[in-house]
Amino acid sequence: MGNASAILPTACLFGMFAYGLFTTGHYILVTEKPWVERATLASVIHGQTTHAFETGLEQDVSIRSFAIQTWNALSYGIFGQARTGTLVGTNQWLFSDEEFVWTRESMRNLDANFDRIEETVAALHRKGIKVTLVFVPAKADIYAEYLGGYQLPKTQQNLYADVLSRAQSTGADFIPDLQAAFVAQKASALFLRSDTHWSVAGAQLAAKLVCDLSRPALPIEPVAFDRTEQAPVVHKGDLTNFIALGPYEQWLKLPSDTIVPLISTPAVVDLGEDALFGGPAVVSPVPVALVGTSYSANPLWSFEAHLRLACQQDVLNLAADGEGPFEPMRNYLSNLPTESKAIPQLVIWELPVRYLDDEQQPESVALESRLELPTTH
Amino acid sequence: MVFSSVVFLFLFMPIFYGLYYLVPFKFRSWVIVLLSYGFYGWWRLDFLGLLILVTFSNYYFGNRIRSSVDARGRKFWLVLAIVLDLCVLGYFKYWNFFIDSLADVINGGQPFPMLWSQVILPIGISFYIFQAISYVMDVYRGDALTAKRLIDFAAFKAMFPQLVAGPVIRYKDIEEQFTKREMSWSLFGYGALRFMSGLAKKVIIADSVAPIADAVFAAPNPTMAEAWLGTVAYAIQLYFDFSAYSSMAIGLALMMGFRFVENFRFPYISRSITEFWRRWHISLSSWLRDYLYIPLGGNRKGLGRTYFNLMLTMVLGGFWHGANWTFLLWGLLHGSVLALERAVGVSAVAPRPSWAWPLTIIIVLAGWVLFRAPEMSVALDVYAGMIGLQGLGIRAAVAWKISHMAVFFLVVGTALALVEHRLNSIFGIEAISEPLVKKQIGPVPLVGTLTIVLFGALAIIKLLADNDSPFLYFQF
Repeated sequence: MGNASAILPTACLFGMFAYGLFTTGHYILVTEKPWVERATLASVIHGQTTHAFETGLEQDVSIRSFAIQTWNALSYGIFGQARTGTLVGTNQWLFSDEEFVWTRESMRNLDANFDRIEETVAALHRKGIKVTLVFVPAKADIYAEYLGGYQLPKTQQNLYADVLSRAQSTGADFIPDLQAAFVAQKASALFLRSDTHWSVAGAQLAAKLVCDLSRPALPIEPVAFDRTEQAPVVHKGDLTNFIALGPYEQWLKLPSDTIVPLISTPAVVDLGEDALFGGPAVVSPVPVALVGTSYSANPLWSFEAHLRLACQQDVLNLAADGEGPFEPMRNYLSNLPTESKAIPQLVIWELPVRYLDDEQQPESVALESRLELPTTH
Repeated sequence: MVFSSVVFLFLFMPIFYGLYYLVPFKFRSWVIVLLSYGFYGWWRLDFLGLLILVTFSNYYFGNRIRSSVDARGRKFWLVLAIVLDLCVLGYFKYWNFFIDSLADVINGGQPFPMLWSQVILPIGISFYIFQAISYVMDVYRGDALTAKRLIDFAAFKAMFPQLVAGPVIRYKDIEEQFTKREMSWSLFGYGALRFMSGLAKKVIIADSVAPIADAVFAAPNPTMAEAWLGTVAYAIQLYFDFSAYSSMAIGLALMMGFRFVENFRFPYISRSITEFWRRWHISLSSWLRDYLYIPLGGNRKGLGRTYFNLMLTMVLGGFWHGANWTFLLWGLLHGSVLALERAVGVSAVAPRPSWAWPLTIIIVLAGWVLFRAPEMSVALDVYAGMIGLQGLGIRAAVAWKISHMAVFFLVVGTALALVEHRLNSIFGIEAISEPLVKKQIGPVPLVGTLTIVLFGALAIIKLLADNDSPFLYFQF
């Protein structure tokens, strides 16, 4: 019995050693290592190279996925929870924990971000461009009844009202009752269960309110667009990334959403007997620019399409995935056309409120210096 | 490199133990030195130079102490060694603290840009400097001979199991082991078992409860429930993190045939602070006793001086943990209670009444608030919460951060901390404790072995699934 009880851990350790050497050998000899080219003497001495090696090795472990899925299955199956990033509510509703975060720096970040918004709006106004701000409410705010044991902190409950009050001093138009409208119509499933984002219905509601508000800023002549529904898509939302289950999914069901995306195409217009050809009405420059986050960028939610249909104007979508609301606007300002006739009449800037109390990357170049346009059209 | 990492488990361990057992015995210190330098240099190669410098200098000073012809000469070299060691520690660990504190006092909080420098705290410096000081003092006192071979001394200094977070090993405890030590498959297996048990405690329990402590100590104005929950969570996190590290260190050493001192003996069952310090971070408390408290006079110079020596030793012991007023106050708290217990005749070994346990635990928890808080204002905030000045229940802003799993492991960890000594006895795991004291290590009954191996495997699964979580005592 004495030696027998030492054999098992020894054997297990030897097994781990063998697997470890195989894994490391595979990583060194086979796996691509982009950090090798970036390595310098300084990075070796200061430990950045070894850190890069270690990070790469961790990603390369063949049983890593199995380990992640197994631990996720244990925590989801036994405790009903996902990994940090997602909160599991009732009725298989998932919520992003970003909507709950409030730190000692949050108020300061809110101040700084609204300074940025104000600065941006002023700069766009100087170029004769009207601005409509779309503050996307938090999903946990609208569907609080599905939070289960969680409760949105008071700071987050008050955040939307605070944002609207600050928005008044930005000089831009904004929808004062977007959150209230979402609450009133939430039975229409305005957010996706398994995703942080709004649904097609939610994007449609927001688009209608935006266009109703922005009508005076739009060209008088409406443009017709055809609406086409695409094939339904069974969508596993981004929040399920925090509950990767792999083979365990056959026993532990994860939520999903069925989405029917929409596209809008310019309608073919009969230009009359004088026209050489009939065709879609084309307006140049595109009168409306849409800048924002994945709420606008992802065609699945169809916000761009709904804007075209509701505003009856073409929309140039310059939103970007995964960069927050400020970086796409920085890029937009840097790339504004130099000819005043080429700039839009209206910029719709979509900002999810949950980003507004986050610290943003400092801007390396002041906004104004990027704008080299004449002050009027 | 940390023990609970892929690179340590999958790369370093197989290479080290493979080479260690391939080479003849007389070259094994070389293997220990070279690969331990690799272990340390994995973090930063430039600070490896500091470790090597401290190694060579203290080896040299040890030899000078031994070869000095008179007491004055021996004392000269001892004082020089200790002063230089403390200067190294003082600069890297405390320079900016002193400059910032000076600025607060005489410059209205405005920093002194000419004096402040971007000093990086070398990992493990507190441990290896204390280890070096113990060597030169033991040589001076005649408690230890100087190391016969520089390579053995370098191996003692650099040995990776204890290099960055202890236990604080004394040369005299292991000097014979460099010339003769038992190495067998049994010992390797029992060492592996110790290692796995530590890995499981750290990864499964400590890392799981850490978010509770983080949530509470980051929240402004914690309520009573939050403050106590967060403090208990930190107490469990700290114990399972640090004792687990020591367990892994002991196990890794045993796998080489080295026997280290046991560093924790179920501290949370203590019924006095005096007893607590015989169960918590034992290698440090005994170091402080032997190299600070006794040289200060210990209890040989009257009651008043005894109390003063106790408090000063603990204050400096607190300061050793970190360059922050909170650590000083933590040390002062423990020193004061030790002095008080001495005054009323509390003994570490005589039985104490059962009411002494909750009193001791409350004092320990109050101390952990200081230990965890990044600054005094946060500690005071938590104390205010503990006595109910900021509300009672858990607020939504904190509640969402406390997962069911974290609470589950907090309950498990708390229960384990209180009954571990009994479980060790039931499962036969105590057979692999106290390796420096026991001649015979093991055997462990199969049920104990299976339990540890299974939890060790689960720990590796969780480790792969989790993000990196460095040990708490890493930057001491």
